[in-house]
Amino acid sequence: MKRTEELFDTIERFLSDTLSASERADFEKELDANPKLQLEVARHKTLKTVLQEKKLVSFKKELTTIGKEIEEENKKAKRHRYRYIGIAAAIAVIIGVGVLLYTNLNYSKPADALYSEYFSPFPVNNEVRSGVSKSLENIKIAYSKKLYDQVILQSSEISDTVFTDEMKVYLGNSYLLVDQEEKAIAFFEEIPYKSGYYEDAQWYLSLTYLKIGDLQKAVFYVKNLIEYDGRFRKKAIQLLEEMLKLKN
Amino acid sequence: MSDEEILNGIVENDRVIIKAFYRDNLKYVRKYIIKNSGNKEDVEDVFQDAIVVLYEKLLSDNLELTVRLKTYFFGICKNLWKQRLAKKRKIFLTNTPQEGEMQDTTIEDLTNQERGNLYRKYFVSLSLACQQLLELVFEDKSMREIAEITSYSELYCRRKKYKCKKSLMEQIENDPLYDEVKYEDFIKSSL
Repeated sequence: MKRTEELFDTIERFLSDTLSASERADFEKELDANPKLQLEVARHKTLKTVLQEKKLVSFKKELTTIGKEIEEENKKAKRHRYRYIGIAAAIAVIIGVGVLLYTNLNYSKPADALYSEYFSPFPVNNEVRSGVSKSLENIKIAYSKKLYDQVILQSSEISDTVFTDEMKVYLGNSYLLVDQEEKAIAFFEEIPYKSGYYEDAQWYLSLTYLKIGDLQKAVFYVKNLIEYDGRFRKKAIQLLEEMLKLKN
Repeated sequence: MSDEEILNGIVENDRVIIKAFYRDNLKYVRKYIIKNSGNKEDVEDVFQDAIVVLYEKLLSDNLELTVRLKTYFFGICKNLWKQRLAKKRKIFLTNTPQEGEMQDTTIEDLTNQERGNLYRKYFVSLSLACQQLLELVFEDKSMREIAEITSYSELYCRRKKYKCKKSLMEQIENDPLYDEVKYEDFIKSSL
């Protein structure tokens, strides 16, 4: 059975009991006569039933994040092991000197070094979307080629109201990368809590404020991320620890 | 940490406890699955699905441990993997529980959970935007409400919803572990 937008809409309205009486009668008639439609309705119903169990879905999301974190930690540990085998002696000396300096001089990285260490541009989502205008696609292409000036130039030619949250993250990053932090902040701040890009926006807000030396605000956004308890939590905790050293 | 503390942590979604449990048990499961024709992705799938099985049992107050949690959990993983191997027709391992292995979770119980595991696996692999949109659709929110929440137009939401859902259904249906649903089950569940 060919899947279409209309078919999906009708099945969903049938399942949520929002078809009108006559629409429902017509659909049920067709359903009785069409085994392929019966199967499709059953598939939609099953999908809906399974994914309506929010607790299980959230739990699975959390496990996926934890799984990725552990994999990353294992990879890091492995890389470190190999590295240490070759240059153990040199590292021991460096660590020794580093620890001495750290202890005696209460050393902490300056804000700009911290920003450089934690910042990496938001990766381009290569998913192709329909309904997205050519001009927005061009912005995305320019961003993927790291032509940040072009991103800003092209975006200035279209209305702000058409920007998706994804675009706003690209634009915020572009302004940040050409040292126009105020504009970057404006774009990141527009991304609402319910957005799928909210965490990214909060992360970049903290980094933007770190870059301009406003530690108080940087700490505020990092704490937000820790409280949000999502995929940025671990990085946020690390950054917060480093920033608190800076403040002290 | 005692078994009771771990189980409480899982049911209360305590991230620290869940992560510690994950880290402590992964290596045993990995060793077993890799030794029995599995790969890295199989390990991750089986391991996470087994924790979900445990979580579901805790939510429904349907868990009585007669062995140590570690042994019980390993038993769930083994049964899940045996069932998947049989489906993949790679190899069939006879189901003979080892001493101390769990006794109360049968292959039949697990079959009923497999569909949910498969659907959730592909759902969480969607983009965050797709996940958020479909969650709103499954809450029976109207397109107008969804458009307001997501700040997209209704037309965009409708198209996006269709693409996300179609892609999700296709991914699920293309998985070798997918069991076709039956209309009779739908009729039964609708009664």
